[in-house]
Amino acid sequence: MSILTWCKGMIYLCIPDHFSSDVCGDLEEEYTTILLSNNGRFKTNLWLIKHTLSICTHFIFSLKNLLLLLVSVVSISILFTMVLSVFWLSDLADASVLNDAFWQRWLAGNSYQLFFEPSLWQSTPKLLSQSVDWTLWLYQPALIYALISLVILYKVNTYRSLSITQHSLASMIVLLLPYLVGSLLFSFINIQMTESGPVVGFMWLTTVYLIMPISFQLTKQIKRNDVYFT
Amino acid sequence: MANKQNYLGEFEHFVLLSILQLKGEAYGVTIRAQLKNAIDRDVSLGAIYSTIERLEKKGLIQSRKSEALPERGGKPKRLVKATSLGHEELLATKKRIDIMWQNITCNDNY
Repeated sequence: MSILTWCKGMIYLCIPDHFSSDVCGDLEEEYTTILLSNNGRFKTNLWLIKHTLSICTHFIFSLKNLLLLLVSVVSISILFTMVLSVFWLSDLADASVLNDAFWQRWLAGNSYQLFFEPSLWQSTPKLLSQSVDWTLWLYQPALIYALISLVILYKVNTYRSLSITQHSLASMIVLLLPYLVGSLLFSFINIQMTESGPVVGFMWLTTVYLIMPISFQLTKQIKRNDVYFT
Repeated sequence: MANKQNYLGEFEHFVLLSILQLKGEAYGVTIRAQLKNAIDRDVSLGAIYSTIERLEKKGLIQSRKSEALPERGGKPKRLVKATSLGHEELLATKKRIDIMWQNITCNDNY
């Protein structure tokens, strides 16, 4: 297989279908009719490889693709952390694994501190190999909030044609609101340790329910909205 | 956003001018050669095609396929030409640049 065929194959893989054949045709024309006769095979092949890499990176490392990657990585990381934390808490037989200072922060509404606990991350392989108790993931208030906010976000985006920035901000508000409400409850009401479960469940499970649909909507809008990237 | 869509970027401006200079023979290879010869700018075909796509979406150019050619591995050329909106936008851009250049004197020492 010639270098030209390899390069064309790479271009077909990396760039949008609607002009990959135009780019390949142009590349082949310049390679065979202009460069090969003037520069010799070795120099022309080097030019071809350099040019193919340049074409591919132009499309792979576009602002649009980087933004899509960022949204995907952030949302998957958040989902993974939340799911792991819920698993870990439900599996926590002995609360003394965590020190008193941690539980004080927890009752002050700073439940996010759990994400920085080394014991959570140390038990990851064990947690992931356990069987899943699905009832753990169904919490009615969080489910209702998630459904209502998703419908509102979808309707507002459809009727007001939000820009990507506005859509991202609205999504952040929808995601953070339960957490803020939960933190305020912890701050203003003296919630006991045994009563903290439903509040934390609402704070966390709304994020678990919302993160993937919201990031899916956002990535769909990023893909659709080409003008933003011109 | 609307303003951003209407104004021509620097590279779009150059590509559109190359298309006009090449008359009916503007496609990836010739536009690339024109940019290299005229302003010594060596750009990749990827940059040219993404700009062509953008200009076409803005309605400033239109493209058509030529017949398939053996030296292109049996693939057709994507020939592009400026639309009347493209001509208008170029003239408007030139006017804006001329206005900004009024009363400015530059020499090589600065």
